[in-house]
Amino acid sequence: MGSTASMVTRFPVRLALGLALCIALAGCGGSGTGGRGGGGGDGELLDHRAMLREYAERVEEFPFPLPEGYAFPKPEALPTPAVPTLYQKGNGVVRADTAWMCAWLNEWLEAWGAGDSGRAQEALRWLEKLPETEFIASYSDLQSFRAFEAAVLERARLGDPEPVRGMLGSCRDIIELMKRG
Amino acid sequence: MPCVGLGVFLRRIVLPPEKLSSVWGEPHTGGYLGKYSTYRWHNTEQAARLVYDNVGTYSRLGLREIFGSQIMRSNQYKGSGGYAPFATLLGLLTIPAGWYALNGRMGAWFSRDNVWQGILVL
Repeated sequence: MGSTASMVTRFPVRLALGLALCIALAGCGGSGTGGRGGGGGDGELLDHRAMLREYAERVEEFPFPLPEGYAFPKPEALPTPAVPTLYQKGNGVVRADTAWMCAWLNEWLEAWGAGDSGRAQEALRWLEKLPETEFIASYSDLQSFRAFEAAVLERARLGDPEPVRGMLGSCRDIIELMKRG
Repeated sequence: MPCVGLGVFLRRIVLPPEKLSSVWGEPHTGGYLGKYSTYRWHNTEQAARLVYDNVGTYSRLGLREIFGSQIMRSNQYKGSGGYAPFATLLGLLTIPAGWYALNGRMGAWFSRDNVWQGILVL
């Protein structure tokens, strides 16, 4: 009872079309992602507490610095879901990594607004390290990062703040928590 | 390399290969909401979802942003699944640029097929 996410290993007959489709897509230039794919299960689902433990462990040994004035929120400060929720393994890791990304995006925007090109360039240098995070390396892919880089980072390099502003819409709450420390 | 002739389900949508991800999941059979961990970047265009194998009951799948709550309406898939575009809560089919992951759940059913699989067009 209550089976959890795991790699799909059984292929009933009605999956034949789907499988053929996946194979066809994979042969068309890397469209099929294999592994974790864009959504689906590999391994156990975590409850909220276990997800927070994962987050705390990642934060504890985070490989890159945050901008000055930011700190990772304590796990208990993160919002609790309104409905019973299970998390695919990695959710806590991705939360830590994307909080780090949000902090540097916000740092870039503030530095740009203040006309501090040195601080803005430093923010971009850290954001270029995103492919080294677990978020990109294990829970997204380089293709997505390249698209993000072209749509947001490249525009920032050219002095256009709008894509960063747009991106920060989904970061607003976490940035507030990070600035509170 | 362009993809052509991929089957009836995909005939009517544009298929740039870089926008396609094969996705699958085994939601909790008790009907709990599941938050998947894998993210993809989406530029501002229409996002769509195709489920071509469905769970034994029904599945509901939606997109969420990083740290955001789900800002898209969930799509519900019954029977063998099907193609459905994602829409914002206001009903718009243009999905803002951003990083997106899937939320999913199935209708509770304690003994049968809980596997869904499909292609995410994002």
